[in-house]
Amino acid sequence: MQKNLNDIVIFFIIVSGVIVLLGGFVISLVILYRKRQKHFVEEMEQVKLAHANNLLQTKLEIQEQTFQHISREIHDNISLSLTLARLQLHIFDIKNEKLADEKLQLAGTLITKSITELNDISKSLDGNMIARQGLLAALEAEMELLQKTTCLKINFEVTGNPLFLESSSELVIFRIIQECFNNIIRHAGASHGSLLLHYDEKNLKIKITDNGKGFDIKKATTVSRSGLKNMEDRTRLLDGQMNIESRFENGSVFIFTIPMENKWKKEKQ
Amino acid sequence: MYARKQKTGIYFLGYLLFDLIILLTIFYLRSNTEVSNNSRYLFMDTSNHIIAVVEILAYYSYFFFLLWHNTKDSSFLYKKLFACLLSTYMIVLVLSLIFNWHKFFFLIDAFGFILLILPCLIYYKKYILNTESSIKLTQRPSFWIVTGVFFFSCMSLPFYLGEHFLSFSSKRQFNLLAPFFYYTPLALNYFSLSKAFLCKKILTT
Repeated sequence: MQKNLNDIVIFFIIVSGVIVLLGGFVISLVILYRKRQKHFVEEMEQVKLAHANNLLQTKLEIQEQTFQHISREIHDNISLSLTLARLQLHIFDIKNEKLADEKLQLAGTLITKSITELNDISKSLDGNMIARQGLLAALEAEMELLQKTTCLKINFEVTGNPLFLESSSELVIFRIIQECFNNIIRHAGASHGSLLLHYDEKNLKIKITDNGKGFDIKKATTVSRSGLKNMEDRTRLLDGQMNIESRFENGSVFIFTIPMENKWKKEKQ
Repeated sequence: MYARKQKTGIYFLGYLLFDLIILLTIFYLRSNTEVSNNSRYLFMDTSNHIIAVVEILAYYSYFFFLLWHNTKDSSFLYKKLFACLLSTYMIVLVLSLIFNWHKFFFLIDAFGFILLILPCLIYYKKYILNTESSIKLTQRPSFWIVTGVFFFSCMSLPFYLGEHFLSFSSKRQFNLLAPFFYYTPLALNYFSLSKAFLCKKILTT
C-alpha cells in the first residue's frame, strides 16, 4: 500500500514537473517571439520612414530641376525674345510703311515664340504628369525639352510590353534618368545620347548611352553626395541594380535593372 | 469549415473524424453488456494504435508542408531522415500488432511521441527563434497546431511510460488517474487545433 502511494506521488511529481517545464518553455518562447516581433516592427517602420523621406527628396529634386529649367528658359529665351520685340516696337516708324511692316512682323514672331515657350514651361510645371500620364509620357516630354534646350541629340526607344508601375516607383525611375542626363549634359560634353527602356516579364531594363569623354567610375562613385551615388541609392530603393561602363574618350553606358515584382499597377492600354 | 479548403486541413479533419468514430464505438462497446471484456479491451488496444498511426501521418504530412517543403537545401535531408524514422515506426507497430508484442507497446508508443516532439522542436527553432515576422504569435495557426501536439506528446510520454510501470503495482489508483492524464492532453490538443482553424489563415502560416 505504501509502495502504491509512493508510486502515485512519484508519478504526480514527474507529470507536474513536465507540465510546469512545458508551460515555462512555451511562455518563454512567446516572450522571446514578442520581443523579436516588436524589434522587427520598429525596423519596418524605420524602413518605411526612410522610403517616404527618399520619395519626398526625389519629388523636391524634380521640382528644383523644373524651377531651374524655367528660370533658364525665362532668362535665356523668353526675356530675350520679349526684349527684342519691345526694341522693334520702340524704333517703329509709322511713316516708313515697308520698314514698319517688317518691324511689326518681327515683333509678332518674337511674341509668338515667347508665348509658345511659355506654354511649354506651363506644361513642365505640371508636377502630376507622371501620376496622370505615366512614366513614358513624362520621359518623352523630358527628352524633347532636353533636345530643345541643349546641344544633345537623344534617341528615345521603348521595347517589350510596357506596364504602368506604381507612381512612387515611376517617380524614382524618372529622377534616376533625369539625373543621368544632367550628368551627361554637365560633364560628358556629348553630342549624342540614347535612352532605351525594355520591359520584360520580370524586369525593366534602362540603358542610357552617350558619346562623351567618359570618366573614372571608381573616383566618381567614392565621392560622397555625388550624382552617381544618388542614382545608385535610388536604384537600390527599387531593389534594382546599376551597372556602368565608361572609357575615356569613348563615352559611357549606364544600365539599370529594376525588378517589376510588386511594383506594377495595371497593363498599359 | 475554413480548414477544409486546404490539403493539410483535410488531413486533420480526416484524423479528427476517424478519432471521433473510434471514440463513439468505444462508448458503445462499454455500454453494451453483450460484448465480452476481452473483446472490448482488444478493440480498444488495437484502435488506440491505429489512431496513433493516423494521427502521426496527419501531423507528419503537415510538418512536411510546414518545415520541409523545399527540395533544394538541407531540409530535404531532414525530410528523408524523418520519412525513414516514420517508416520504421509504422513497420514496428504493424509487426507488434500482428505478433502481439504487448510487452513492447509502451516503448513503441513512447517512440511515436518522440517522433512528434522532434519536428516541434525544429519548428520552434526555425520559426520562433530564428525568424522575424509582424504576425502575432497567437494569430499563427502553425503555432497552435505545433504547441498543441507538443504539449500532448510531452504530457503523454511520462503517462505511457508510467502506465507500464504503475499498472502492475497500483491498478485501482491508476484507473482513477488514467482518464485525467489521457484525456487532458488530448483535450488540449483538440483545443489547439480548433484555435488554429479559427485563425482563418493558411495552416502553415
